[in-house]
Amino acid sequence: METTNNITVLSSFIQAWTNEKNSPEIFPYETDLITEIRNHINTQQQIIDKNLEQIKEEETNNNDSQLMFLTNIMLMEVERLNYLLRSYLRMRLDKIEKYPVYILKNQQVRESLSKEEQQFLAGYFKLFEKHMKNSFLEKLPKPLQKIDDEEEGMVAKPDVNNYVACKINEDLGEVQFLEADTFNLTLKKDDSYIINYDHIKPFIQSNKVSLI
Amino acid sequence: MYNLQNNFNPQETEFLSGDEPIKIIPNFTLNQKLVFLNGEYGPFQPSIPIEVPLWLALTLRRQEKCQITIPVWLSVEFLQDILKEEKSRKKLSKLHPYFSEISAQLFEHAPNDINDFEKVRTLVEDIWNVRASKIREGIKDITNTTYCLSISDLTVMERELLKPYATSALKNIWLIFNSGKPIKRPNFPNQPETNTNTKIGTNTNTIEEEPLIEKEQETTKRTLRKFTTEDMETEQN
Repeated sequence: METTNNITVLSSFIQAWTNEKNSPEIFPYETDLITEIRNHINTQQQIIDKNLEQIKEEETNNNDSQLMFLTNIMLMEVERLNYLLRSYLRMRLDKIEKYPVYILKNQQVRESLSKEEQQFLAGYFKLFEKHMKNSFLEKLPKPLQKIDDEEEGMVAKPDVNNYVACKINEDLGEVQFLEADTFNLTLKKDDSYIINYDHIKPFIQSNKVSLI
Repeated sequence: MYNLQNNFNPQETEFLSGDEPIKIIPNFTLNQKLVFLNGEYGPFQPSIPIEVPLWLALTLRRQEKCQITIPVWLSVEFLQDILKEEKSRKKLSKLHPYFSEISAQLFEHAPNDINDFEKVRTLVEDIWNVRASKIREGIKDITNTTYCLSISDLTVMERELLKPYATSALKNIWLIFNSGKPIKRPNFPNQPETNTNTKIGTNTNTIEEEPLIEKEQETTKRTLRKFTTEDMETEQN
């Protein structure tokens, strides 16, 4: 087992989870981290199942209580990891359900989704469209029947002007933010701010700033 | 949608604090290594201190299989110094980021391992109150031109409690501040681009739609009447 790698796997995944929770947009799917975590869960789950079978077979044995004790601890750790994974996936699914048309129209955002999520999106959008058509869209006059018309404001977009809490990971010096008026801010390491998401978005991809 | 809330509730911060390392003194033997995702935790021998994640320490403590070594920052002396520091200056002192969560969990599951438990608890509460009043004072400084808020020395719990209020307040300030300036808006037909006070009634499209709506109302009225006469007929029968 590589322990040096695994210390950062969990903390990077928790950081990705926190980023996803705080931001209105969908981040790229963390395939590598999730595969590693799932591998670990699978190996542990196999050991757990083997232990449980062994406990069932041997009924009265002193080693059993130790085996049960060990198995319980492993179960708890697996439960914690499962909770993280489930929460991460559910957050992303909720975001997909909230902005289906916007994602379908944007190739870049669509690439942030995993293959399964893209399938989910396709299926969800088909149901959504069918439901809208059957409920009332067919009875509207033809020009108003589109649900993907950006000009008419029919497409729900994630609001990038939400305010988020973030932590600065590197010394970035004086940064200028462009808005209606420009303002400057000295970003030093380990400072935290509640700031407009749009302003720090470019720094998040390079991990210079992380959401907290 | 629960999953789309932007902040952690206290249970979730408690979950996150579970990964913090803490020293325990086990009273059992385990010759195997516990293999977790973030490291291996070596064989356990009685009376030999070992560092484990907090969630594991609390589980073991609940089953009375260990004794938890209370971290330095939860001792009476340290807390008294912190309280003095908090009361003397306006800036927030540096605390462990999971100060509230770890202390709450230790109070609940390992009260006997803490020296002067009552005193420690009152000190923690006092520190919380002093910091909370400082944060409230800091919030009063938000004006209608505030574009960001510095939250460097807050603990995780304080930050998550502040977030909903601060994010929506700052967002509203931003909206008001930028309302007079041109923002890119979707183009509605027959309406000026940057005008925020649009008169919807002057749009020529709506006039054509009116007769359609009236017709639908007539059809519903007719069907209603039909329903009631049928009802009356059956009653007479």
